[in-house]
Formats: sequence, C-alpha cells, structure tokens
Amino acid sequence: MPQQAHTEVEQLFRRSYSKLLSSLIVRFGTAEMSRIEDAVMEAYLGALKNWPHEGTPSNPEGWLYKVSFRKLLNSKALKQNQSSEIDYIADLSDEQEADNWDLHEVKDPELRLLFMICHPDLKKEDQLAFTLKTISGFGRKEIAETLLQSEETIKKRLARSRKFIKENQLVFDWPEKKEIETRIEIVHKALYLLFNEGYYSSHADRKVHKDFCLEAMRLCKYLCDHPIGNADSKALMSMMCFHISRFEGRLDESGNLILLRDQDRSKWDPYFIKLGDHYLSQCTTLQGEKTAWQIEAVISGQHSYATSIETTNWDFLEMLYNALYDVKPEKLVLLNLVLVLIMAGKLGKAKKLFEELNENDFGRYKTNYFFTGVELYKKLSDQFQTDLWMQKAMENSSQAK
Amino acid sequence: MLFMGGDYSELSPEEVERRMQLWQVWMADLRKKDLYLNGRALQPGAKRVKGDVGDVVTDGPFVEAKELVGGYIVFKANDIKHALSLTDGYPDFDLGGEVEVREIWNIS
Repeated sequence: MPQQAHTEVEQLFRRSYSKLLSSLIVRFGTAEMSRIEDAVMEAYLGALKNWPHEGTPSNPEGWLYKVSFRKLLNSKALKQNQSSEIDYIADLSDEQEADNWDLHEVKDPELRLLFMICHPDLKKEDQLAFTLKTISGFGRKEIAETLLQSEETIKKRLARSRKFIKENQLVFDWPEKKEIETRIEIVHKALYLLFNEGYYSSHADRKVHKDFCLEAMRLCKYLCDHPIGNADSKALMSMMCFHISRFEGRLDESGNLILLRDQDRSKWDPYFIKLGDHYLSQCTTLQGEKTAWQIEAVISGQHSYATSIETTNWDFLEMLYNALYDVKPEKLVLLNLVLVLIMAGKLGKAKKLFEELNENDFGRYKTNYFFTGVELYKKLSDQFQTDLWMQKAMENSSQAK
Repeated sequence: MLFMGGDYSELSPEEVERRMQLWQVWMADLRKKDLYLNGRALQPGAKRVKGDVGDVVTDGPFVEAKELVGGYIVFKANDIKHALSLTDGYPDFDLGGEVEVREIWNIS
C-alpha cells in the first residue's frame, strides 16, 4: 500500500477520531462506547484497505461516519434478531441520517469528552489512558511505550474507563454549573499529567513525547478559548508554553537528558516564551490569591527568561517554591526547593530541609532525590556523604535497570 | 505549531527584565513566607502511612529536580564494586559534574 495514502488516512484518523466518536456517542449513548470504538476502528481499517484502490472519497470523514454507523446498526440488529416493518423504516431514516452527519456534528467534541472523563471517582491513570486513546487518537502501543507500561496495562485502564462510563451512566455533555469548578480542576490536572508524561519520559522516542506535550497544549488552548475555561486554564497554558520553549535544548541526539547548566539556551524558543508570557498576563492580577497553577507558570517563566544558570533568580525562586508549597504541600515541591536553596548558596537551609525528606516520598524520582543529596554534600565539601549518596543513586539505578 | 497569528519576535533584554520585575511585584505580598524555618508542615513526626506510598507523589514538570541534577545513570558494571572502581580517583565535579559521571558510566 502506498505510504502516502497510508499516512493520509492515519492523519485523518488522528484528526477526526474523537469527532466521529462524539457524534456516534450522541446517537447511540455512552453505554455503547466499546462498540462505538470498535466500529470506528473497523471503519478506519476498511479505509486503509479500500481507499488506495477505490480512491479517497470526497467526504472522507462522512465516509468513516457512515460506515461506523452502519456497523453499529447492524450489530444491534444482530442482537435483536428482528426484521419488522417498523425496524425497516427506522433503518432507512438512520441511513439518511448517516448521510447527513454534518448536521449532527457535536460542537467541541474533545472538550466534552475530556470533561466527561474527568470524573472525581475515576483514577487519574485511567483518565489519562482514555484521554490519550479516545480524545487524542494515540495508539495503544505508543501510549504504552511512552508511559513505560505494558500494553496489557493500558488495555486494562481503557477497559476500566469504559466500564466506569457505563456503570456510572456518564452523560456526554457539559457538567452542571455547580460541578464545573470541581470538574475543571480535574481537567487541568489531567492535562498537566499528560504534558508531564510527554516532557519527562526517559527514553529516546522524542517525537511521540513532544506530541503528548503538544496535544496537552492543544486541548488546553481549546479550553482557554472556550467560555468554560477559567484563569487557571490560562495559567496552565502559560506554564506549558514556558516548558515547551526549552524543549529543544534538553535532549542530545541519543535522547539523553542534558542538564540545565549545559543546555544550549539559543535553542530555546522565544515564540513560546512570549506566548507563555501572554497567557500569564491574562490570568494574574496584583491582588488576590496565587494559585498553584499561576505560581508554577511564573516558576517556569523564570527559567525561560534567564540567560544562564548564574543569572537565574534563585532567591525569587525560593520565594515562589515556598508559596507553592503553601497551596500544594507535596514532597516534590520541597525537593525542588532544596535545589533552589543550594543554587542560592543557602546551604544550611537546604540541608535542614533535605533532612526532612525521605526516599519513599519520591516514587520513580528516587534517583533525583539521591542526586540532590550528592549535590548538597558536594557543595558542603563532605566527601563521605557525597560518596554515600552517590552509592544510593547508583544502587537505585541498577535496580531500575 | 502556531498557536496564534501574531508576530512573536525575540523578547528584548529590557522586556525580559521588565517581566521579571513584574512577577516579583506580583509576589511581593508573599515575601514573608518562609515555611521551613517556621517548621510548618515539616513536623518530625510527619506521617507516612503504610499504603500511602503509591499515591504520595504527584508528579509535575519541575525543572530543578529533573534538570539540575538529572535522574538516572546508565552503566554496565558487574556490580557496584566494579562500578566504583571505574571511578578511581573519584571525580571532583561541580554542578556540571553529574554529566561527567554519566559519561563515565554511560557505556552504550
């Protein structure tokens, strides 16, 4: 099959997957999610098979919709095993419906799906899998590889999310007004998680990782432009812009991480720095509470603005991390604060804080915690401790590998 | 990937400086916060309940913990002793030295 045609279908698929899904969900209900996804997948495979021979249809999305639609109707008919006259008439009008799917197109399908799946009772890992597959159109294998999980695990997460939708009879619509504030916070966290997975995956398939980041940003921008978005949506967007501005300087050709000190800052993208700044200006006022999202955006901005490690405003970052801990009391925040204190030359404070932390606080970032110890004790000229922490780092690494 | 239609040329150093100051003003009212000296939320008995461990870390794209020091060593030594012996004349590394360490042990 010609590569060109294949790629075109793939691109179409990624672009229109959630759109198709949404229209079909509206028609058949969220309980049919599994069947809908299967039908769409079959239609897509049919396209891959047929279009190179029969040519790409003039309305490719319409084609996919029609074929998926028919498959779903047929599967229902098979189940019911009926052929009454009433059913026949119903089928006809359904067919006509299939031809006019543009009239039934759902507005903002991805955001709706996102709000639907960002339910307080659904595990965030399952939410993430659903978002990546159903909303962003990534393949199961890609997802598994980037998240460093087995395909089987991803499969289970997807199954759980579908089951959740069915059992809780989730409605494919915007949340009620009183729920929006809670829900949107979960949406923000979901996008944050998606972005982070793309930004800090530790192996070399750069393209997919950056795609995860860009996908998070695409959905976030959608949110910012939509009336349902709020100030924190903009703060999140700003933060992601600042982070992505530094993306190109972070990895070498082999996909290894280049430390901040050694990064070529000329590779940092001024476009995204300015864009981050734009969004930040839109969501902050001099008065008022500083949210975690805003603070993290400013933190990221400080790094992006700085021309070197030496001229980075570490004292200000210390302030920012203190403020962040106040609204987001998490250990990783403290670990960063330790490093900021080291950089600011406040070694006593750094040591005091570091001693409050424990390796069990850091999950897959244990080695980062150990390296922080190395850094601290090296600066304190304590050779014994430096060796000790280096040994911990190595042992942890060897276990990981 | 263009998000907006505007022309985003480079930020001038003056503009950068202005922005930095802006955010410091923004934070001015929080200048007094100095959490760890107050000991707030850092009581020695800070609970670590069994079973919590899995859920403890909310990961985030933090630059300092992940890019100031990095998070992994790739090496193929027979054991720790072997690996340590590879660094005979232990590297005296400054901030950038962690990269050196990685290079020593990054046997591909």
